Amino acid sequence: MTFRNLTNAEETILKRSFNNWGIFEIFKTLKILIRTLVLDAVISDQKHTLTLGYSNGTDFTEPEKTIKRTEEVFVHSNIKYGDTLLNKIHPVIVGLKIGTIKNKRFSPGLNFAEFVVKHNKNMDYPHVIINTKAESLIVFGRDIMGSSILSYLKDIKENQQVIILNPNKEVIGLGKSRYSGSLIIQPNVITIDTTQDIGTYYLKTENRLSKSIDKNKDHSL
Amino acid sequence: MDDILDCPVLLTGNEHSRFLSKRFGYKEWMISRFLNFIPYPEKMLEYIHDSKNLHYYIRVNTLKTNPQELKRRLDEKGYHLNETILKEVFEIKNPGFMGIQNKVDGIRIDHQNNDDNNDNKVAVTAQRDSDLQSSKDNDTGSKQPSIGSTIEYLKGYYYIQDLSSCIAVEELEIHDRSDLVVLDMAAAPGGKTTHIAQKLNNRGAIFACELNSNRLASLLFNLSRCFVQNTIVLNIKAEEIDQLGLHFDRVLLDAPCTCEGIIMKDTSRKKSRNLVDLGTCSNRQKKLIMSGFDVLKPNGLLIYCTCSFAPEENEMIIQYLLNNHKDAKLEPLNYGMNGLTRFSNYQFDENMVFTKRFYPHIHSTNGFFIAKIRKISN
Repeated sequence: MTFRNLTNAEETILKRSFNNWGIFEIFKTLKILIRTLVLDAVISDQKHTLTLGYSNGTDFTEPEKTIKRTEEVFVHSNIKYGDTLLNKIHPVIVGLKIGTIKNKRFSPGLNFAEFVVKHNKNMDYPHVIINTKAESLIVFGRDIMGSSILSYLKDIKENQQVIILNPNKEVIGLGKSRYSGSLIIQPNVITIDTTQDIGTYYLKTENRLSKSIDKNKDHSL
Repeated sequence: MDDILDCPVLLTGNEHSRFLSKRFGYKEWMISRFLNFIPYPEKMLEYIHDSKNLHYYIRVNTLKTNPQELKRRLDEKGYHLNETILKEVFEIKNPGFMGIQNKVDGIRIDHQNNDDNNDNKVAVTAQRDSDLQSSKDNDTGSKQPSIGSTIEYLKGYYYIQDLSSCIAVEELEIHDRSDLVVLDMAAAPGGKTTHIAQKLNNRGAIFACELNSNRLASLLFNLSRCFVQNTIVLNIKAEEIDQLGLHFDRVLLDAPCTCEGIIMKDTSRKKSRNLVDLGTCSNRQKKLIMSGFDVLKPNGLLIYCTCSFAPEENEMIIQYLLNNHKDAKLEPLNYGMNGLTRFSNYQFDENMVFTKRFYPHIHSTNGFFIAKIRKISN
């Protein structure tokens, strides 16, 4: 479970994303580490396949370029330990996971959304604010009906990632818009698909039934 | 002395211990021991026997909110919060249905809390109790959602944790210093780790060890929920921490134990443990405390704690450390009753009074033991 520093390409991807969400200025204040998660690859012994795991120096039969990977992005608060030590002690986690990089795109997680809400006071990021009644359902995975939305960023586009806020303007989830602009408040229609929510852990770990409504494997952390 | 410290002490029972054992459903060897070193043992057994005496505490996560704001919000939701000796810890008088069952979209979700000292057992026990005592629950909030299922909980604004556990971290003497490196030797589910993180204000570094892979998930969840950024989680045997070549300013050893102190929350422990278990725990605790002390920097602090009453897991472990490390010095603590200076035929270091014990019937907490040890600098 090797952690490493950002490559130049990854830094560019993250800077762009931080900028898009209106928090570019905090990028330089964060210490960021990357851990590579192999999604699916055949190990060189030809008998085993690594699925959703960490390579830890494993040799694969496939060429490097064809191995499906995702890069997990962690922030930490200035932990003064170099790569050498971190790789020697094989940590499970260093700091706080904020999202993943896959196919040269950054997919924010809930902790990234927390940074956005904390630091972008203008609220000019894609978001919807939902009512209290819907809040208790959405935190356990429900999608959002248009009539539950109290307010939203006016220029939300179709299929855009949005931060879901409760009336106190606190992050309770992340979602994807099915419609653009004012169409997202049309009544009796699901207009936002909830992709991550703060209650998912319970559904995943405390209740086996959760599998039926677990929409995204990368939910919990 | 070390030989003596090797074995659990079996004390002879009598008619009274047999009577209490039968009345309260304990193994007799436990009762005969309790009668020897617990103050007002009958009162404690009575107290533990009555589930109305259960106390619930929450610790405000100051990385995300502040005590006043959280109190206001939970007050609005109908929870009654009382202040405690620690400003960031509240007692909840009506924690709701701790084994809450919500219905969302036709799916039943059974919530349990992931807090310290097997407090997740609280949920199960409390659920059973409230089933049996629905009439009593009318005034303690049977319709109230569980304190472990609020939005504020999911947001990481607080952690459900016993006051005694919070005191252990309080005694680590962390005063928002950015350069402290802290070792948490048995971290899952993360109650004390997240508490240390907020004490450090997310600065410095915490190395959190957890050997049990099954318990890692709850630790990682709680670190994420509480927005902790300064922790390195290690899936290793804490006894082997010295092999990593690291040294720490603070070490917290909340040692795996027989958990006699949480019988009130997990009544199965009245009968599920035997003297062999006690001996096994005691031996492991000795190894853990030696490793923890070895990796402590000069002038560093080690807090040793258990949720057990047994001297074999508490004072005897400390005595074992003192016997083997002349640079280990006990320091006084601020809360609790003095540790034992003798048990059965054995006499401990006179400074053992600096260690502290917590009893449910006296302190309204779990049964708990805390010792504070400084590594004297040469």
